[in-house]
Amino acid sequence: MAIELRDICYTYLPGTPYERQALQHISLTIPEGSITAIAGHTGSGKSTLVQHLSGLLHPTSGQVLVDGVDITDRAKKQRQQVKRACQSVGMVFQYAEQQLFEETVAKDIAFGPERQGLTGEALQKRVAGAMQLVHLDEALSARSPFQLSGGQQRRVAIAGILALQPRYLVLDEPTAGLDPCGRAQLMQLLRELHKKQRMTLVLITHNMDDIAELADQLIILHQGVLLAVGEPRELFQQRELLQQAGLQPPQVVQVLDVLRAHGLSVPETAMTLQEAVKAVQQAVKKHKGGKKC
Amino acid sequence: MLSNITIGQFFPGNSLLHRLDPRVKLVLLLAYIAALFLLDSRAAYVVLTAFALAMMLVSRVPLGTQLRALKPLAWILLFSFAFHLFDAGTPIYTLGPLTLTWEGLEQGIFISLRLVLLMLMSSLLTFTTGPLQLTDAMESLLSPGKRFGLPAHELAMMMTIALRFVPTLLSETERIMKAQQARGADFSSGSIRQRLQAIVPILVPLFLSAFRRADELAMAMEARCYRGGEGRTQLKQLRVSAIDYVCIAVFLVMLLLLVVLAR
Repeated sequence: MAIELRDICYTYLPGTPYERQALQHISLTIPEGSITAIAGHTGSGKSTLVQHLSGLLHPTSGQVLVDGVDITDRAKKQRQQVKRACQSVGMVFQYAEQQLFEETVAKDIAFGPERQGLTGEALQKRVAGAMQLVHLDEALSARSPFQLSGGQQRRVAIAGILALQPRYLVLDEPTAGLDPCGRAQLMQLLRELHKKQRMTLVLITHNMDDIAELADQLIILHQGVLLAVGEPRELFQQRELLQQAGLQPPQVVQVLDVLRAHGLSVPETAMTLQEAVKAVQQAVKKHKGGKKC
Repeated sequence: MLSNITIGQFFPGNSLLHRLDPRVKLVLLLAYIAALFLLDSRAAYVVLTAFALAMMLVSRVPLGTQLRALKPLAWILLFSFAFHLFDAGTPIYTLGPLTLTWEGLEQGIFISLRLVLLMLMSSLLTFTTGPLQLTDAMESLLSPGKRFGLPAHELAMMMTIALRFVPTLLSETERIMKAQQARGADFSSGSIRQRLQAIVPILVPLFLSAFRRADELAMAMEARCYRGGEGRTQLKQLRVSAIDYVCIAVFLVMLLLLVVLAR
């Protein structure tokens, strides 16, 4: 089970002077249970790409397969199947709190499941469950979402998607515009969703440290072209590739680079803080041992 | 979806019409429209139509795009054409209480042609003139009115800001629509009541963000000491050049021709 993109092309405003090819021949697989990060410079087509995953955009050419169902298929008899496949992919937009509109938090979270036909107790249960997943206090459910803090608003918006019980969760820059505390909370939340709910995550992010900590697959886009897919650890070592895409390696990797330039023999593969600490300790020990202090 | 809507519909290019001073274009358009409504001889319409066709070709905007501007007008055209068919006059064909007449047919064609030309030439102006140029032209043309208390600069600034935010709000709407669609909202099916209700989840976030934007813009303008048009200079000065005079001359010749023909 996976989401599979086969030779996707997407053109904005075809047939006008503003025509622009946003995506060119992109093929990739997002396996179930993975955490996939998508990185790239502004205008590289990241947001356009993820909107294809849940059927919000239809590719100009190519296929999108969600668990084997081609969601670009517009045949009538396929419609139910396609709809169900699209519903298994939840999409959290950038600045998701801007989509809130209801009078209370609970009502806003209930919007999605209500559209799925849920009512009464089942609906309430679903809403309560979603609020629990994002660690929102039950006391907030009767409040207006517009009275909450930015971080809380965003979690309400994410709960609104989780209430649909998707198996894949796509997030477009989920931490953009949050304070450091809100960011840390949100990243922790994503980790939990992956571990406890076994949710497949796809996230667009500019934060390479988050990618190093979290992701097991990294997709790098550049001007609508797929530049690289692979493990973050491998891709972070290819500096020219990163530079071409306008990206910088994680801060930890940059620090280790400086240390290496000054003669400390730390391995190139360390990319998280913990790994770096261990690597530096070992290198220092070896260094001292060599000098016979 | 919404990306298909082109408001302002500027079509970048470098044709003769693109290079004309926007004030000249605006005034000539008004004169053309006046001629369109004042004259009603067949010969005048031949000349006016020929002029319109020539301008359409000169603009180098694809003809298909230009003709698409007529689409929203289709029903009005059909209606006004049908309405005039049964005026009093020489009968061609009688259909129950209605009598089709030659005069009616001619009148119908005139009226529709008038509307078509009006629409084509006005959209030609927006096709060949950027929205900012257009508001500059309006400010410049209205500025003599300042002496009588007409807030020319403020009016132009309001229009500039409104035009500036049309694409922003459109893309915002599209984003919010998609976000709600991702939550299962359905805008294209159901009863009229259901469809109206489906708009609420779009309108509330849209209004919120529009107000926030307006607030931020006002603050940013104040922070940069904006205080109206008094003593303000422009980066791009409008200048009437040689080709403008040539165009005015050509237009005047056409008007002269029309007046002679009308005799």
